Formats: sequence, C-alpha cells, structure tokens
Amino acid sequence: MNIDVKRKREKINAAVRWALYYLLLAIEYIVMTTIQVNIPVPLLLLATAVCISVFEDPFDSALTGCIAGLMLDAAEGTLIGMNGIIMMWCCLMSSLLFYFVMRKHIINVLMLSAASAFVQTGFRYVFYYSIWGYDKHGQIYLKEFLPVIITTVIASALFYPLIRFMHRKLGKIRETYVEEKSDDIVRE
Amino acid sequence: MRDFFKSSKFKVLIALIAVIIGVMIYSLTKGGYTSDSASFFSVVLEPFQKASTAISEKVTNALDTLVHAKNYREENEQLKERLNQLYNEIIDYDKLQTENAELRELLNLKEENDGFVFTAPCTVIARTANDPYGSFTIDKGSDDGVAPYDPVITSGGLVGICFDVSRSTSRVQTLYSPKTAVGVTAVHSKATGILEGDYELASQGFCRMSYIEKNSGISKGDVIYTSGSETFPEGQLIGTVEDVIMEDSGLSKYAVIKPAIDPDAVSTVFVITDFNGQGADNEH
Repeated sequence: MNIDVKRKREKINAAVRWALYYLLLAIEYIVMTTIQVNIPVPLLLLATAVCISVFEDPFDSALTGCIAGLMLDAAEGTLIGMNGIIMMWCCLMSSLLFYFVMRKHIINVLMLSAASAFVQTGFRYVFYYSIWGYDKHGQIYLKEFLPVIITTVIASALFYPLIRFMHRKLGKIRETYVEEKSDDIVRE
Repeated sequence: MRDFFKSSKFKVLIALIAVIIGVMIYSLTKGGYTSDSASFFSVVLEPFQKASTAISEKVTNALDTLVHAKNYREENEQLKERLNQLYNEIIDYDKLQTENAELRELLNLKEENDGFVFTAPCTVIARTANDPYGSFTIDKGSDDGVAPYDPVITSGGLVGICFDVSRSTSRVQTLYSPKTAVGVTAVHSKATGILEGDYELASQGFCRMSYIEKNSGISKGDVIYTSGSETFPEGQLIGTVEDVIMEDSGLSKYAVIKPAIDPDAVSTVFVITDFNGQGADNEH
C-alpha cells in the first residue's frame, strides 16, 4: 500500500474512532442522567474512559479522561472539575501503565477500572459526606458507593471488548507480508 | 515513562489542571455549583436527554409490567371485587332513593287525605298478559291488610281497585276495565255520572263517563274526581273530559275521559285499606 494512502486512511480511521468514543461518552452521559432503575447506576463514563486509555496514548487518554470527568461532574452534580482532575489522573496512569508496564488483558483492565472507581467514589465520599460528619457516613459508603464500584467494574467488562473492537477496526493499518518460496536458490 | 513527565504534553496537562482548579474556585465563589461551565453538558445534551427520558420511561414501564405482572393481576382482582361491591352499593343506594321517594309520596298522601289508612308502598311486580284493560299485580296482599275492592291510588290520582287478593300479592283492576264502576263528579259543571271502562275507548287510553244529565254543562277540559262511595273515597282525581257525546237514546250524555294516571306507566302505588265511609258493601 502506498504510504501516503495509508497515512490518510489512518487519519480518517482515527477521526472516526474518536468521534465514536465521544458519541459513546455522550450516550452514557444521557443514560446516566435519565435511567430509572433500582440498582446503583454504574460510572459508565469512568469505565469507558479507562477502557479507552488502555489503547490510546497517555496524552489523548488524559484529555479524554478529563472531558469524561467533567461530564461526570455534570451528571452527578458535583463541583465542576473535581471528577475532571481525578479522571484525568486515573486515565493518564492507566494509559502509562498499559503503555509501558502492563499487558492489555481484561483482568488488568477490570483491576484498574475498580481502582479508578475506588478513587473517584473515595474522593466523593470524603468531600461530600465524611468531612461534614454526617451520621453513619460509613454506611453510606458501604451501601451506596461500594455497589457503584461493583457495577462499574461489570460495565468495564462489557465496554472493554467494544473499545478493543473499535480500536482494531479503526486503528493503525497493519500490512501483512507473505513470504514466498523461491526456486531460484543457488545451492553451492 | 519519565520522558512523558518531562514532555510538553505533560505540561499542557498541568496547565489544564490549573485551569480546572481555577474553574472550581470560580464555581465555589459563585455560591454554588451551577456555573456556566457546569451546565454546558446539560445544555448541549438536553434534547437527547429528553428523548432518552421518554425512551427510558417506556422501557421502565414495559419492564415494570413484566416484573410486577403477578402483583398487578392480584391488584386487578382486588379492584374488580371492590368494583362489584361498589356496584352493589349503588344498587342499594338506588333502592333506598326510590324507597325514600315512595315514602315521601305516602307522607304527602296521608297529609292530604286525613283519615285514610294506607299500606306500605306497593311495587308493581307483574302485568297481566294480553289484558286490554291493563291490570297488574302488586307485591302486597291480605297479610298487609289489603282486601278485595280496596282502592288503589298514587299521588296523581285513582288507579283502580284490588281484586284476586292473595296473602302476599293482589291484582289491580284499572279504570279501563268495564268491571270498574266509580261514581264521579265534574269540578266545574258539577255534573255527575258513573265512570266505567269501555273496550274501544280503553284501546285508545280513554274511559267512559255515563249517565250524565243531558242538560248538564259538562264540557271538554272539565276535571273529574270521585264523588265518594263505600268503595271509593271522595275527592280522588280521575282525569279530564276529552269529549262529550249525546247517547243514542237522547235521554243522557256520556263523556270520554282521559285518566290522569296511565296504569302502564306506574311502578309504585298505594292501597287505601280504610277510609271514612268505607262500607262492607260496595258498588260491585
């Protein structure tokens, strides 16, 4: 394949891929703010942002995490920017770990997703419940935030294959070479 | 990894964090969390949120129907049962209302006719088949004090007399019957006569007032009432004169009377079991 054509196609793929990522985040924001179920609503934005950071480079992952965090702030009604900063760091760390250290495996993704959810809910618990000295605020974490972490990990397990599929189909183009046998081997 | 933390991209991220912190401080100083930046996503995505809410509600309702089908079925059964109870209560209420109206009518009759003894309100329970004179059966009999030839009235006037009295029912012979003969008087002309049934007139809803003096001034529109006898008390409305005709003999006249009460339309009547002047013998 011509190198220029390849680069052009890769750029188009990247644009489509990122458009799909942000469309997915927008849909998740809408779902999180409108869904009416009796189960703890998972942090879909966090799960997706962590899954994206597995495959993308650290800077793009951090930016995406920041935007997803700001959306989460709007969805949860928290101080704007709080989740933006938290998720930026979570996604940056996830991306760096997968970029340099960890294998891209679903178990690792779930662990990092759980850790990110733990950090996010931890900050929220501390700043919104704990420091205000509410009665039985420990129960709030156990009954409200812990189920959210669990459902978020489950959501990550569902989103990871989807993000991987998108990255494979719309990622860098890999050219395969078939090694052919040649009869013109001169034997000495 | 160290290279990334030393890169310009990382510095950009730090700058971004600084900006976000600035926004956070600005939001806090604004006195709440609803700064413009906070509402950005909600404003942009509002139309989609509305659509999503509509879809979410429909899905939730559908799931709710599936999940709680058993509860809804039980609730439906309970509500049906309750509805039937309410229907029965409405029927009882209607009965009580009818009974109340009947008792009020009876009270008025008693006030108007001092000295009369009435039965309780009698309900028409059957109408005699193929009777051209419209006789019917009421639900009061000898156990209720009803005797043969007791007059039957409503607040609108005389209906007829009782006959075929059993212990619990009585048949009522209407004014249309030729067997019924009532002494009557006209209000204005003071003409007297005998009201009796006539087959041809009965088929048209009229009765015949016979034996009217040929010189009497009875005319159309004159009101007819009972003149009083041992069977019928005085002053009970019969009807109005529709026509006055000379008899073939030329010795007297007869009048065509439109009864005030249509026996086919009555559902409740009262039997006068005793009144001043009632005798053992009667005109029949």
